[in-house]
Amino acid sequence: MTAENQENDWQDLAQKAQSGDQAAYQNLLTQIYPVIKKFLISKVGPGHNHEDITQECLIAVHKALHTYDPKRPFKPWLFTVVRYRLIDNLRKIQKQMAREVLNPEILATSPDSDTYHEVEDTEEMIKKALDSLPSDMRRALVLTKIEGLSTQEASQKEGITPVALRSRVSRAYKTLRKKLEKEIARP
Amino acid sequence: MPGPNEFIAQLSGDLKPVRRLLSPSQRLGIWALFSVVSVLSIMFSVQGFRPGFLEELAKPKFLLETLFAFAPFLSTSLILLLIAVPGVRVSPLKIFAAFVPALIFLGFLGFGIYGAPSTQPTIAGARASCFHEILYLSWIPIFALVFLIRRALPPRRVFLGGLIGFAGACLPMAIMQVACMYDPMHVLTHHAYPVLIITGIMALMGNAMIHFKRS
Repeated sequence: MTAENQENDWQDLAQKAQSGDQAAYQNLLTQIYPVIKKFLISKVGPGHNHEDITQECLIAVHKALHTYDPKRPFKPWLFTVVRYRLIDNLRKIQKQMAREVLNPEILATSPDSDTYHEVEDTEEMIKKALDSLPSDMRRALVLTKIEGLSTQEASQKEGITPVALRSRVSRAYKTLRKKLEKEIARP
Repeated sequence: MPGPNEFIAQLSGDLKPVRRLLSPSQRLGIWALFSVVSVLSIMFSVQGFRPGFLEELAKPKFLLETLFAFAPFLSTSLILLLIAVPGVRVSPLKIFAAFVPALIFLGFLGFGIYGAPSTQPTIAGARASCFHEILYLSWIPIFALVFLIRRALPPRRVFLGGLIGFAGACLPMAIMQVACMYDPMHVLTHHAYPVLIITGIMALMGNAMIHFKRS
């Protein structure tokens, strides 16, 4: 099927789905499922738990179906919904990682090893983004969140005030998030 | 966790006909009508409008200035409603273009302050507290716009909140062109300045309002 035919087909199925045609909707979801999964793998790397995120993306598509305008192309709408869902998912994981020490051994011995693999794939992406941070921000983040030093200890090591250290950590998080969102949002 | 086919079957089985989102221009029309009617009627009931404003609107320069005062509330809210639709690309140039009427309006004020006002400045119609009226009345169009945007799928961006605040606050500011006293410096400090304040407040809390989830 050519890309144009596929686009026309999806537009037609989405329009029918909006009017309640369950068979057309099932057909549409079946066709877009592997496309979403492939897109997610390209963004977060190969792993073992893309089924979860893909299904979450389908739920997001389901909830946002009323926002699709049949006069507009379907694919840009679909990938925007999926990207937003992925960014939300990444925020959740980042918050989780900020609370836990980034120690693969600790995560690997946790009861849910699927979470470890999901975190490992995302961790690789985060490590790349971390390496691209300015050195003072990276050191502040690594000292407090990876090596586990307290704010007082880390600030003494860096020779700055605790307030200045907290500010660096906060800026490091913001910069890291922007880089990761840009990475995910790349078509 | 169910397999993909089972999951898709469940999701399809849950499908009901959806109430499709109206087009951005239709939503703009509804929002603009509601906002103008409510803000206008409240402002008129508080103190009425400046005596002689109709004669002033007959002057082309003042009419043009007033039109450019009203235009930003429409142009920026249209951009917002477009951005909130997934898959619609709104270029930075279009976003900038939405602010051009506001810049032209400020240009008119600038000319007015330096000696060429669009109409004869007057204290007739001076309101007791036009500054605070704009601060309070902006929330009517703002909450209405947040309600409309939440039904779409807006991205999480700080500028979106600020844009909502700007669009909403521009309406009472524009109405003050004919409702309050006219003096370019007064318009700048008492009508345009509250728009900046509201824009700043909404830049801080707009995202939380848009993405607030009901439990």
